[in-house]
Amino acid sequence: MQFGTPLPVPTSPVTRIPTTIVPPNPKSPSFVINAANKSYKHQYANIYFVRLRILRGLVEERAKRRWKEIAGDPVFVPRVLEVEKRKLCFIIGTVFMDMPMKPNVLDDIARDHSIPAPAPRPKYYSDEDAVMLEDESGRIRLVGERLRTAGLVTGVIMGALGMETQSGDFEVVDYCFAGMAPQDSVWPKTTVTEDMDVDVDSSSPSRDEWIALVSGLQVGDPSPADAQIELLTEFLTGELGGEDDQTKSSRISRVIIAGNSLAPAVSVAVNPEEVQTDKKLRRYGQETTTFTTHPTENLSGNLLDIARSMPIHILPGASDPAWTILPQQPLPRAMFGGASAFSTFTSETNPTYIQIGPSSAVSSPSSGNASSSKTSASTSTTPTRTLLVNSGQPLDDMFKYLASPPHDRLSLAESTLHWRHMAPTAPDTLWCHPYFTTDPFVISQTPDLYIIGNQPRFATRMVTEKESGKRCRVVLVPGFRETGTIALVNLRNLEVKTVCFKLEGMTGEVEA
Amino acid sequence: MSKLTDYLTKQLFIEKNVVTYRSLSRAFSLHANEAKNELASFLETPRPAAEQANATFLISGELNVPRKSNTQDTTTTEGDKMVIDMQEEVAVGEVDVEETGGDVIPQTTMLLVPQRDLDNARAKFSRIFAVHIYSLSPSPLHDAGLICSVLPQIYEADAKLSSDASTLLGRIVGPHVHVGKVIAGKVASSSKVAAPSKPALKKEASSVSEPKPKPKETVSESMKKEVKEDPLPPAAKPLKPSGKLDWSKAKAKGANESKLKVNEEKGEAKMEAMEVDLVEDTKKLSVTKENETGKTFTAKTSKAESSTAAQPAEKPKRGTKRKTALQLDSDSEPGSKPSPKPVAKLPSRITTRKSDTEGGSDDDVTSRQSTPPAPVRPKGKKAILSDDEEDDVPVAKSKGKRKIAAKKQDDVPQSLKAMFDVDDDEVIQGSSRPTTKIPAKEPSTPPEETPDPVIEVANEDVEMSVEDDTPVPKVPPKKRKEKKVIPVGKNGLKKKRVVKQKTFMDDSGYMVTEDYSEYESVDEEEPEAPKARKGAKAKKTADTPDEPQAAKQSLKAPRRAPSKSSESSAPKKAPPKLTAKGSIQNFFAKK
Repeated sequence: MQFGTPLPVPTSPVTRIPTTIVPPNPKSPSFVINAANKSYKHQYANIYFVRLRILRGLVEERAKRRWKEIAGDPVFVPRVLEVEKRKLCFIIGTVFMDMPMKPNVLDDIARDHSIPAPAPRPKYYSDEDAVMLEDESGRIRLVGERLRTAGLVTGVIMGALGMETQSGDFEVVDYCFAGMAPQDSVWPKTTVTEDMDVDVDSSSPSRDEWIALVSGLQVGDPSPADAQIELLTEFLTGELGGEDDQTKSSRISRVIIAGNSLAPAVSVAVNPEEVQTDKKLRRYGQETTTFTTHPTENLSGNLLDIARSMPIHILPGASDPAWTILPQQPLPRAMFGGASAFSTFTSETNPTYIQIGPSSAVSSPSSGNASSSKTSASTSTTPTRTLLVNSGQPLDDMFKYLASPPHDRLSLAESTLHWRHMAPTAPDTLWCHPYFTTDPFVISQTPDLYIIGNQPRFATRMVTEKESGKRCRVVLVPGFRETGTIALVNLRNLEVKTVCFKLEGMTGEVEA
Repeated sequence: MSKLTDYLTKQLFIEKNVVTYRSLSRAFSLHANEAKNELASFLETPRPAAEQANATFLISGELNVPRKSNTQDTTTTEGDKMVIDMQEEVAVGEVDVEETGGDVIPQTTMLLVPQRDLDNARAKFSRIFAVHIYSLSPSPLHDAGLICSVLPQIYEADAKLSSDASTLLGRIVGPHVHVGKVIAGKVASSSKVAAPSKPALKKEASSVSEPKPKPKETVSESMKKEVKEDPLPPAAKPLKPSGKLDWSKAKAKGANESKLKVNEEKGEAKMEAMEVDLVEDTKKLSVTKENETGKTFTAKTSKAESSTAAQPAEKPKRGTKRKTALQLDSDSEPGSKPSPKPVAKLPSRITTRKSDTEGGSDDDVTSRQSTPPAPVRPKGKKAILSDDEEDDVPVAKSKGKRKIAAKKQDDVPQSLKAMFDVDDDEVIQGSSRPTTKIPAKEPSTPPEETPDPVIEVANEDVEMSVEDDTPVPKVPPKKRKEKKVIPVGKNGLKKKRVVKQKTFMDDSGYMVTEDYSEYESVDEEEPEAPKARKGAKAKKTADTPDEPQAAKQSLKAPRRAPSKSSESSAPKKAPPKLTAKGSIQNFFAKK
């Protein structure tokens, strides 16, 4: 037949390029809820208060720099209620979106509970939305053409330049956010152009470390992607494909599973958006011809398979058996059977910072991976990279605030970096832990790689801030079950590739 | 070769299994690529029509860009740039990412395709890295999920392979993959959440307890182990693990704390140096050392003298376990004072700690001194109930201590009764303590005398915590003890308190359901265990809804009034706290 020359068998076993986990930057907060902050007694107002306190200074500083040249000499009015009519000024506060469609806890209480609640809306956006800016003193309504395209959501700390109108609203001329947080990484002046040129590829030595990003395996879903997951596993272990593929796999140093590894136990009301994207045939009736019906066993089987080859970081997601409020705490290791025996299998909190360094950069012997420094054959120039990973809930929630034609998920994700807040809607429409003294969702350090899981489609962009030269690669990782796609990121130059696992001429489902 | 052919024939046509290259590679210890080749050659060999295998192929490569030929410049290898959001599905209402500047990135596709569609599929690729047989099956695979049917075999085989051996099969293993326990570093943060103090405590305690004759050895063993396990983390891991780190973290860390830590480190270093042999002595030393530090420290921060005195006094008495908690108190003292409102307002734990340090040391002392041991129980009961149910109410004074004790108890609701019983015995033992406590306070190390009490105390703790460990087996003894209290009926059978429910119409015509308890004679022949179980269950159900009420009752009704569920809940919940409390009080009373 035509399948050509036999595949060569490598004479000596290929080894994988190691990387190590560097102890997290002390400046990046931990999302672990421990005895010290595990209290549900506090009011959520504290989060807003703390957030405003942290970010106001930064916004003010930036706003002053930005608007100092402006004619009319705008003054900073520290309290939003003290603005004077017809005088150009700027104010800083927390954005509050007053949206009739937004779920309201008061409605929830007033609702007649004998009638089932209406399904949650896919979008909160409507034409009657009003934007408010609020601080300790009160709220002022913002108006103006400029706001239309701003893509604001509740909870963002914003500075607004403008003046009060006759009606008491604040007409916004310009706005300003905190801007990207400081970043440790130093970027070379001669930065690589963003389209991955051929020469970029060739100049990158074969020993660049890559990481694989996966999300939404959805093991146990009625229309599962078992075959694709198996292909993925084999690809990651380096057995699938020809030499090229195996070489590529050998460069993948670790895999990050960004949530939704298990399908929801009960089928929740499906997002219409998802229904659209889910073109796969639904399986009728729960057929159990695959090896076992136990989703966690299936998952842990695959994870064990991968864990033998490379370190895994797994995050809980919306559909995983973890609590719903953010930050989601690590899934119990015991859930993962054999994989949990690996010290290199890490169960992470849902938003989490991960610091990855080259294996030779092991400085702390306590990191547990120290022994890998022996294999410094593959020392590279890869700097330590800070990754900020979440499973997509913040972005999904923010996205409901915005009309989608002008706004898209990628730019919204980018905005969170400029806002310096990864989940501004958190206490409002996104459930989160009632933090009292901190707001860990404030991005204090711009990560090098900002990974958001469980998105409908893959997308990526290098976000840069010109004035400071900070750069961050935003990667929206698509759900694997729907798309069969994983993303690979080069840790050295943050180049991204995708690998798609597909089937043709057969179904992913078991036929009845 | 023929063996391989036999295997394939058998699997495919007799057992009708799917054979993937992976399962073949596991079955014959072949490299994955070799297995793929073998499958290919098997397929190529002509076979009788009845035995024609169906192949599934895997194509890896880059797909043609489905639309927009403008990207087809295809200058070189990298020609197949793919617009990211060119995934087939475009969700409604979402704009193309392309427009907003999403990066264009290359995409590799791994396509699993049955033999009959192979050519079609190939045509879609603009660039093909590799095509290989993925699997052979007796009939065409319609369901890709069937390739998973061989997974159990693969997993089984993989489980037996060493990682070196698996690399020979084509698995690419990173040198940074480690089997074994999670080690310190990053992961520790997550494990910290789960099990901060308890395991260590228990372990220590139980190892101390096990054989009374030779406690030294076991203690030393456990010490050694712990020392080995985490030699790095400096502060207070082995001997004082009870959530120290968490606590200090909770606090706004002050310079004081670090100072303290340094001191502790010193103490620890000492401990390590002295090494196992005279563990008790060593412990003692470190304890006193800590006392010293605590003392000087508190003095520095101009803390009330009384608390300083009280702290060291308590430390030796309570043995290793409690010491930690108390140390924490001393830790938190300075922090809590200057810290601004938010910290003070933090979870009740902190406030209680504060109250503990402020009022607890003297107030508790006095209150405990004045209270005779016996009536303490009901009081304890009351306190506990309030602790459990009205978590919010910042019960001042003794609550902090109870909290600390509660930390331990949270785990062990079952065996509380048993602990209660233990307490009675311990009370007597406790009488020897006062003498030991005083020397401990003195800066110079008290040599022979002190170890004993430490051990004794340890034993006490041990007895409790052993029961913590094995709650279920301990149920019967609990039952037995309880029976002693219960009167024997006229018919000569023992009596047992049973909670019953009756429903009646009251004066105003409402149906009233009431729980009440009464004695019932029990047949001695009846197996005890199930009864105990039942009783416990009944109690549980009885007291959960009634708890607030019960609390109220116990507040109102003087002590022992055995009314309703408060009675039944009392033995279950109260004792553990009592053990801690009772012993303390005894201790102070003796003084």
